[in-house]
Amino acid sequence: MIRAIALKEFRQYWRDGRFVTVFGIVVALGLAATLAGWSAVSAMERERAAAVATDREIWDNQGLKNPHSAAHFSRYAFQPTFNLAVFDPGLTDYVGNAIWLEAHYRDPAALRPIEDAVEIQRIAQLNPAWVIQVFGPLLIFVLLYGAVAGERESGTLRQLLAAGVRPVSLLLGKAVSAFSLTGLLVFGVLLGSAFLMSADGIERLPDTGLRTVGLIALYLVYLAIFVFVALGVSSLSARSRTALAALVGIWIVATILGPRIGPDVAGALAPAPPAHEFAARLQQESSDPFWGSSEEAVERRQAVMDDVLDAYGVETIEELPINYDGHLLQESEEFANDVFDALYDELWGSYERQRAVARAFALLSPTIAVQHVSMALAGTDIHAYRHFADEAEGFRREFVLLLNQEMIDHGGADGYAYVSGNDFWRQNPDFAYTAPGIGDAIRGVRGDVLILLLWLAAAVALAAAGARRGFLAEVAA
Amino acid sequence: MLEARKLTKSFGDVRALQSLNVRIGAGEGLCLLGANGAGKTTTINLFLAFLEPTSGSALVNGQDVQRDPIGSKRHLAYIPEQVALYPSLTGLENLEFLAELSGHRDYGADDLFRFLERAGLDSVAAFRRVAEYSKGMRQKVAIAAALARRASAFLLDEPLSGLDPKAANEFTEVLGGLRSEGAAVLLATHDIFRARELGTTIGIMRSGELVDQLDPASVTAAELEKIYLAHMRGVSGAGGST
Repeated sequence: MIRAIALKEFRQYWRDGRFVTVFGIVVALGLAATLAGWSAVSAMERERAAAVATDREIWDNQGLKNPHSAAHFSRYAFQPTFNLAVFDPGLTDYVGNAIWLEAHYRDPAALRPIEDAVEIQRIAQLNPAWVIQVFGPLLIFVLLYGAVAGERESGTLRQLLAAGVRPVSLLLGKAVSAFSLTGLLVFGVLLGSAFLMSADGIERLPDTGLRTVGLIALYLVYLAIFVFVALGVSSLSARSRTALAALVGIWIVATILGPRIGPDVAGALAPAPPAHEFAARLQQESSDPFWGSSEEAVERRQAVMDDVLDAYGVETIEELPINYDGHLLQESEEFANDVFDALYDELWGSYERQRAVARAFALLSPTIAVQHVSMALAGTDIHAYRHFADEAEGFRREFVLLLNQEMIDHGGADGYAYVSGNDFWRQNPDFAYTAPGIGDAIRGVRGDVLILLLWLAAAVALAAAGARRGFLAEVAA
Repeated sequence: MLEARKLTKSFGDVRALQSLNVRIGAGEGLCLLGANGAGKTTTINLFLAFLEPTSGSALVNGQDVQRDPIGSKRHLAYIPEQVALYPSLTGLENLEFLAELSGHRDYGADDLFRFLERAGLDSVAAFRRVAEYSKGMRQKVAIAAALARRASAFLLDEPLSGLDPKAANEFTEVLGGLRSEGAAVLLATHDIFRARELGTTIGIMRSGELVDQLDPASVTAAELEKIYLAHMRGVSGAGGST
């Protein structure tokens, strides 16, 4: 019976030019977004490869230089734009994809593609995930607004019930037809993305297969929510026009307003420090207490000197078998690193609080929750960025230590006059980044997954209520 | 077989149907005549299990419709005044869908055409979209659907209303044929002349009560009209129960 109803629905969709037109537009948008995503990721990866090579070449050929001066000159950590960013670029364009690894300072990421975007791109970024998130529900609502209300208006509902069709069979038949069509959109877009993602020159994210399966499951759950919402609203509406008006309202709130307002409110309720203030604090709290002229800074430097003299059992710096300036610089690094850890923990904490507020808005808009999970699976969310930034910071510390150690070990009494050459630079390692696996990626979005499942349960309950109340009203008419 | 046993339905203080006792066996037809609100449609809704009786029971082929509302409809055909079909589908596609709903996925195109032909719809019309159909043509599809589901009991709610004389005559002939082949028919109508042609019994309803039952063979159309009008005026002993 469900099969018969679903096939009948397919036939009607096909005969109705409106459905064919809307479906065609959404599929075309999805494919265009997929191509645009592939093009953007390919371009970013080409640029990254060129930048990595240039960075290495400049480093290798900087000539004679004091290692600590080289640490100031330093290098960049470039974040790869992984394959799944073709499907969901998430925060890729906003967080920056290169971090300068200089001594004494933990820099935020630079080179944000959004800074180069034209105005319209800042308003709406066309990508496959966004097309499904926004147009998938719209397509479902267009397909289903008259699912029950239309049958009621035309009189066919009464006849179907008289023919012994169970309300639940009717709803499931309608659900299967709309779900299959919109599911095709998900599969089409994801398969198109997968094909393009496998192109040469695009780095593969760990667990890409599992992540892709996760994305398919995620978006099928997401679309199922809207299928059941549409069926519930259509069942409870006396007329299909009323159902359409209600569903358009739900669509606007869920997919347009919610994802816009949620992050704005989150930013207001849990503000992150402004970039310039944060940078100033980093500079001030990591540098002045060590290098400044305050009593505290002088004592700190004196303690470093006393400790090293004790350690080597000598009376003066000149007697030390190591380069004391290099040692002092490394000590200042260790001091600053603790400050960076504390301040960046605060910063990440503010982002987490913002995310928690935004997650509360997901109770009004499942699109917010699906965005969080989708970005996590695609490796383009704030956690993925933090993982990269932390890894880059770890490398920076090791790299600066390597350079300072060169000065400490080989600088002797030359102080800042000690220089290394290209032979040394060419031995220095590159930053190699490995993104986390799927387990780490989704750890931060378990709450969002739970909210989506709650939405699904609520939507099914709404459809069930529609089947009871809406159909009872029909037969009693 | 359709049977009502002391079937009663009240809406609050309003008694829509009062202790209806009828039995329509195979090959029999009961035509219910009555004004609007007399209880004809309520009777049909009770047989369809769309309404729960206040007391009594409605049975289709011996099954209580309240106990098994889905199973009791398996061999039941319902044809309302306005047959609603899917306008973007052809008559053939509508029939195919309705046949599948009744569990008959095994019908081929020949079978479906045969049902349509028997219902009086030609094969050219079967390929046209229902949006272009007249009311009579839609009713033919509904009858074909009843044939496809091998219905043994028919509930018809004012099916002749609004049909042109030719279409009404064709409908009457087809339905008469079905009845003579063993179908039990319950027809609610205002048309006392067609009621005589279609029924083996004519029931007159007033204010939820079956106030008279007549053998159509024993009365002329003019006499039936006179009896009916007398009942509508509330004259007691107007009829001649048979």
